Amino acid sequence: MRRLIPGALLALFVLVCGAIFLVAGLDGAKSFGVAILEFIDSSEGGGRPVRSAGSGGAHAWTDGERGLIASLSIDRLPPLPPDPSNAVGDDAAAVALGQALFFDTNLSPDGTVSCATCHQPENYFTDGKTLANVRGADTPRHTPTIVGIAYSDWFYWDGRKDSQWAQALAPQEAPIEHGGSRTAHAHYVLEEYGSQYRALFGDAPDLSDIERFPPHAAPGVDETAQAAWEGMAASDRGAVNRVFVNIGKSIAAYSRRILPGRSRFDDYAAAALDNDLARMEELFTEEEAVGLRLFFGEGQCTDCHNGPLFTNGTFHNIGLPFPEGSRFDQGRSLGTLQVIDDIFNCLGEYSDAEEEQCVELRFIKLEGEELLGAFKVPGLRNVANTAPYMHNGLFPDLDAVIRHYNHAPPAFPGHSDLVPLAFSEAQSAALKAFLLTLNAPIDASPELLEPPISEE
Amino acid sequence: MRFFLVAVLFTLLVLPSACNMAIPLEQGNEGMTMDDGKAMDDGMAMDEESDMDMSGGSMAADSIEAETSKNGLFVLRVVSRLDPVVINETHSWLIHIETPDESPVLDAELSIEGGMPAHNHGFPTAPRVTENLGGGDYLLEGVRFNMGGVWVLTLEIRSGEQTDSVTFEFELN
Repeated sequence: MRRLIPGALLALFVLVCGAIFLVAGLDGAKSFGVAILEFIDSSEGGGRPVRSAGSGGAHAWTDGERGLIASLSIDRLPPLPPDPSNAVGDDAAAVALGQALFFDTNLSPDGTVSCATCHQPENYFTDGKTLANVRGADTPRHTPTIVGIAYSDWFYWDGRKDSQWAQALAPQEAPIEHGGSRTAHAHYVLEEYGSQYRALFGDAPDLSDIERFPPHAAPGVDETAQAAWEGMAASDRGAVNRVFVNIGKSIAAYSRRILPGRSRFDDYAAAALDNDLARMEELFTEEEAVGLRLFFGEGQCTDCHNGPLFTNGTFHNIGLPFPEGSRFDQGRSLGTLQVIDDIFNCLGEYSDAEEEQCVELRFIKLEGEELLGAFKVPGLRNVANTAPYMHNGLFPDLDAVIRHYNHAPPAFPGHSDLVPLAFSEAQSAALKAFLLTLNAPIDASPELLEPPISEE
Repeated sequence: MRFFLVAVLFTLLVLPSACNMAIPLEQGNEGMTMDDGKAMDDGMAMDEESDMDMSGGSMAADSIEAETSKNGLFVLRVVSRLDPVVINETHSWLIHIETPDESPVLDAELSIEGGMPAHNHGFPTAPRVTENLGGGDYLLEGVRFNMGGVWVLTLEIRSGEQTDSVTFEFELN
């Protein structure tokens, strides 16, 4: 049998490869391949077996592979860079004020919503819901984690904000989230946290004149708030904006401290770098090691999920189907337009950065089909603890995510960056097993993971 | 039946990587250079690991060889100011332009395009020349790569009445 295979296969390979390539092109050939593999999977019940790496077993890595594994390790994560747009970003007093504000439900008119309503520390700062849901109403997108997000250049799934503080402000006024307004927030924070605020930011405006500083005024929130905002003097609006921005900068100072901890994978990466087989075998099962190999090898996952945070920080369309009843979400193609127009962006008057420090905004990509329907690549640390997945929470678990990558339907509209993986059940299971090794505790002092004990 | 399935499976497993290789090979043979400055040839491209994506993603800042523009009007040299060049970090490059007789081109206007042909996407940023540094040197800011693999950078050069273009191809691995 073995002697017959090479000649017959060579002829068959040439014929089939040539015919498919000529008739359908590369994409067609791959789609055909997926269909055949699925047929084999279903007819023989197993598909391709999980393959370990040659004679050395699953834990045998070449120098190049060790380099790749090391590039994903948390040991390669640089110290958190400063945020030049936030002068108090690394100020301990701002962290304390920001922590109090993060958990304070009084930053909503009905006293029910805080940042922690959706970004729950016990759920790795997510909420476990398909779409963020406040007061029983869904928002358009799924709640992403904030762990390690301080390393990002862009915020929200579509990157429509370019700093953590600017991001933190938007939900405060979104009617479907906190539902507040910037004058209400300014009144409340200066009353409740006045001395902390003044210690950090110096003078605070006197907002006691309700005629000049209405209790509910903000642009674009609702008609009442809009009219009240337009009725204010420009200088008073600026004073309120300044307080509002400082609320965001304090919350960002707190959020910056929430970082990912060391996972079992990181220990394995260190062992792999040392070529310590005994330690590798102690840390990873063979299936997990096979999954790691698939992750950066055949799976090409590291095209986007690269670096120590497992994200390239940019935006890709992966051809997600629309959930029933939903409409196409433009994603990054709209987010770019929003961020360049945002008065709270890095180049705006409320930013503490010099123009040349706003590199990402100055060189933002505004054109290209690949922006359409593209969303930010999420990091994968603790991915098993942040279900459901995708910007619209479409997939309830990692199995569903891997199924999508196995089939990778084309995007419409837009262009999908994926090619079908067509992994067997065993390969898919190995990939998932590897992803579970990224679980780790949050790297932040325990007192930061709950509301502060004493408030002013 | 089982033999047929095994044969088809073999075909499909080998086919994608074989077909994937075809695209960079065709591009690479158009006189492009690889990161070590050698002409790209079949031997390099068919390296055993070349169908595996090596997304560590880096190269030395000065690893790209000088290129003559398509119509022979200019000679360009590009050097990254970030060394080594790594993925996920926005940085700047220096571009030096001279004529074939080694006179610096002092008044060039440049436009930039590029990306990853194999992935059908452009740069994640919009790099542009922000400064004419004099002596034929220009500052290209906003360069960023978000994946390991083969990238191309095409510069269109205008100087007076003359226009030409050049494409650099390089690999971050």
